[in-house]
Amino acid sequence: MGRRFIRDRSDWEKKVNFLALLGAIATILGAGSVFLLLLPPATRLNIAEELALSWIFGTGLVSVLIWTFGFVARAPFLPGLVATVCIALGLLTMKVRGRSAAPFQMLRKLRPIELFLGIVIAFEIAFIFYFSCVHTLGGDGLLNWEIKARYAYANAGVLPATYLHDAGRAASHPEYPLAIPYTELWLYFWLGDTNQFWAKTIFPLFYAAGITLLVSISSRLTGKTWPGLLASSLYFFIPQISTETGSAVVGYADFPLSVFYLTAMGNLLCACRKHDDGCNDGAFAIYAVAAAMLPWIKREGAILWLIATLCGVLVIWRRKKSPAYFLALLPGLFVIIGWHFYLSQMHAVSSSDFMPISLAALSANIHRLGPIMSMLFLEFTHIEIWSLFWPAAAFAGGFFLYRFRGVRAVMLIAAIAAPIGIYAGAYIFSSWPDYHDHVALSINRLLMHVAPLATLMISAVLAPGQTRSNQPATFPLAASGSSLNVQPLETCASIAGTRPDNVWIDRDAIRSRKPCLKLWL
Amino acid sequence: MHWHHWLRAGVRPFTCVVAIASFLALGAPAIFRSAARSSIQFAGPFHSSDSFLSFATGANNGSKRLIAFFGSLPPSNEILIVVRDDDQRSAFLGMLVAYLAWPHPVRIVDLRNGGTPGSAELETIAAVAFCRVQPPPPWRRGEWVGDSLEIVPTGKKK
Repeated sequence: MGRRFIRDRSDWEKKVNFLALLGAIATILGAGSVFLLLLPPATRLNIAEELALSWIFGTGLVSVLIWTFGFVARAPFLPGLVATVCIALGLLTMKVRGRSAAPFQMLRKLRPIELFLGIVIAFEIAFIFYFSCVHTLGGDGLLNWEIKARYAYANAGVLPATYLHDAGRAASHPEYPLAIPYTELWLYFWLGDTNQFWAKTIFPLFYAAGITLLVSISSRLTGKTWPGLLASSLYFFIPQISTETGSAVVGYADFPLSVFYLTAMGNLLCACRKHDDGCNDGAFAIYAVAAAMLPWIKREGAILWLIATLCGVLVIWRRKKSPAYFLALLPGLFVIIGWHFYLSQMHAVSSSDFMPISLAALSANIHRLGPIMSMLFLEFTHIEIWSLFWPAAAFAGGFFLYRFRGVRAVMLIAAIAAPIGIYAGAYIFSSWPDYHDHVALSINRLLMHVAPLATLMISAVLAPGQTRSNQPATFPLAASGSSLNVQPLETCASIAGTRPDNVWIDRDAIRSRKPCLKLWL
Repeated sequence: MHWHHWLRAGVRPFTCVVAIASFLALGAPAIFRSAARSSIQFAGPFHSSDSFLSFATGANNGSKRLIAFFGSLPPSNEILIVVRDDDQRSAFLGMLVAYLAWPHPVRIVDLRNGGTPGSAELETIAAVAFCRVQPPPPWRRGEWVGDSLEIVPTGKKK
């Protein structure tokens, strides 16, 4: 009888935990959806893409809200306040987007190969959820990230000042930013207790969001869906992504950071398209939000933000966009300055993984460069954990440059190569007793930051046919007075065998009274 | 169509198929091995730290025990954690003890550097945790967690 009661109670607790988890996820999605309001009405996103963006932006926003409201409120008022804001933002988004003509697109009808690959990806995501349940949090996942959520929960939702200047816990990196720990903290608020098992739930969701965004960005760039689906389905078969130390399921910030970086750079590539069918501004807005959140995910995010910002400046300059676009690059800077100001005011201790950068340190340790590059090369060819991913990426990089000559090709290659170069260079200043250990322990996780972007490049190379840097096909349209004699763009796209995103009416041609339909085949 | 056109048209899909097959052959076995290794266990709030403690010390449900033990000590007093940094398991166990010892301030001492608490310091120390390290002979026996973590309270209780 007693045993049955205990089992019933345990089942009941699981159900309550599951419902609480759904509440936490729903509020994150609600909060994140508000960023979709930044998109111009012409931007067409399908529902999966909207959910993926809402999730990643929601984690960033909710963690920022908990941190900032934490200066004036404590639990139980703090989670109530944040939940109210999340729900209000979700309702606001529904109301505003409900008024617009096309609130969102459902998924279009898939071709058999796309349907097959979609099912494979669905199974892979289910496997990632399974792996996340089976594996424990990794060492860093527990001792660097979850630790902050646990201590903040014990301190009514605010990271204790004593933790920030506790030298004994400096190894847990109190200076790391709070996006991941405070997303876990949000789950703890809903669960009513700390729980290392349920905290892992957020990481498969990042995987699902990352794969969705990879497919959608790839299909927007290449005009075809199957290359993105194929590359994404193969991404699962990289052990470093699925099961190894630091993978997507063990509670490290590296995979979420890579998803934000993919979102930022992928959308910047979309915003860089020569033809503007009204979607370029939307892509630029998504880029700006994702880039701003990079430094809030992990310390290395500041490096990725810098690279993304330089690429953004290049796009604004090359596409002759209004100088007002430069303002979109500022929020990331505010995040970096704000966080460092907070750390300095709290006198936070910092782990001493790196010595101060100086010319003297550089000249004293420059001999390390050779061994570091050698270890980097060994990592690229470590097929037990990367399979053939990096050789494939190197091949795709060369082919991509050959095929897509232009600013977009250079930008994508630079966005992959520059972080790797900077990370490798940083090891010159490692203060570990043996810098080889430092490299060996972390290089695989750092390479994960650019892996989704390299997958995007592979998918672009897989897509056959015309490149986007060539001229689009042009068809003259019959015009009677001010109205055009043309079928809906969806119909034109269907007839031409391409996506609706790839078809647009040339507005300049309308003004010159020579209307024409343009499309990428 | 000439034979070289057929060849060119066939090379690309053939290369892709070979590359994908190689990719799967190298990556998939490791992933499916990992999938087959374990099953889902709703292990509760200390899913990870219990597993690590079990690995490092052999103790089961060690997290709750340690938290209860540290909870019985004055929270403002320090926990001294003695490790050997040349033993990875000792260093990791030390960090795990620091994680569970909240809200106590902690100090991790590497035995190789000869760091041991002086008698004056012992006033502010609530307990000393020896992680895969033998306590000095004069020290009295403390609380054992598994076979390699011994925590010796300095005498003060809450």
